[in-house]
Amino acid sequence: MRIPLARVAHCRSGDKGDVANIGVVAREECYYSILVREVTAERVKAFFGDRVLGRVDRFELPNVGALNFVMHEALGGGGTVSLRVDAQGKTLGAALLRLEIEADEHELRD
Amino acid sequence: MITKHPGTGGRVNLASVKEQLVYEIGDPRAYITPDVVADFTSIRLADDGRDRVRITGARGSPRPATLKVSLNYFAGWKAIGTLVYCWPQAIEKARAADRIVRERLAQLGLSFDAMETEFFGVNACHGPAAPPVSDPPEVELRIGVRGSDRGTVERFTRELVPLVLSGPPAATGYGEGRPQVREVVAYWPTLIPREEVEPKVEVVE
Repeated sequence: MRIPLARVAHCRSGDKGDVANIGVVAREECYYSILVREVTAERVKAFFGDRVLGRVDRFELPNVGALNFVMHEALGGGGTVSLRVDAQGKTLGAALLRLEIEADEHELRD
Repeated sequence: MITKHPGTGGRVNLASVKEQLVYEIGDPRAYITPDVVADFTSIRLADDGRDRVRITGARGSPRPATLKVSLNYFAGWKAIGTLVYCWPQAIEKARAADRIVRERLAQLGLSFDAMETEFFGVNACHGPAAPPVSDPPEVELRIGVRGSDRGTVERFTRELVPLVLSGPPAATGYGEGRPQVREVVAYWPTLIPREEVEPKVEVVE
């Protein structure tokens, strides 16, 4: 079944210059494997379309059940240079919660 | 142990500590600080009661040979202008106004290092990741430009207010007048050898 990422994870995002990062944290330990399987760097890059011009790297933190996505050239120059209202990428984590992912019924707790 | 004073609001729990751990980081295996390179993938977290999270097992590697320097430099000028369009056809009116401004700037032969249009209430925060919006009660058009020549950026700021009477109908939200032209001070993080920096602490009474 298709579910929004929000069902199994919560997110926090921010910036370093023109680089934005999104930490995606599994709501339950058992959801981490769903994140690893479904939320790839390619999918995140495609999700944000022309907002993210550079590459997207994915890092795994299995110890806390989280993924970290580092998105390059993602903030229109970043910081004071950017013309965007969200020059610090604070809202990008919330945006990603809409990402539609596949999960089996038995993988979900509720 | 991560905890907080009682009665101060907020919450320390596994979820909030995990979010803080991934906040504004790059490679979690090498979080570089002046004193140590921390490996966030080595940390174990445990719930230790209300507003208490225990952290164990943190490992890392020796401090880096370089220190980070935050340099700032002058990077031109920018201005951001906004106008509000209301129902009916708020999005269409805001888009038409954006087209008119861009055509005017082209006719004037003005070019910029960057120009960005966002539609508040439609896609300003999430860009193409925002779901489609149909027929909203209002939309704010926000156009920003950046360039090395102050005069060119200044000229842009004079192209928005005329739209109120000669552009799509019922534009509002221009009470502040022309957008301000602001100097851009850009940020350049870089590294220098640690030996170049001599720490000195002075206590001023």
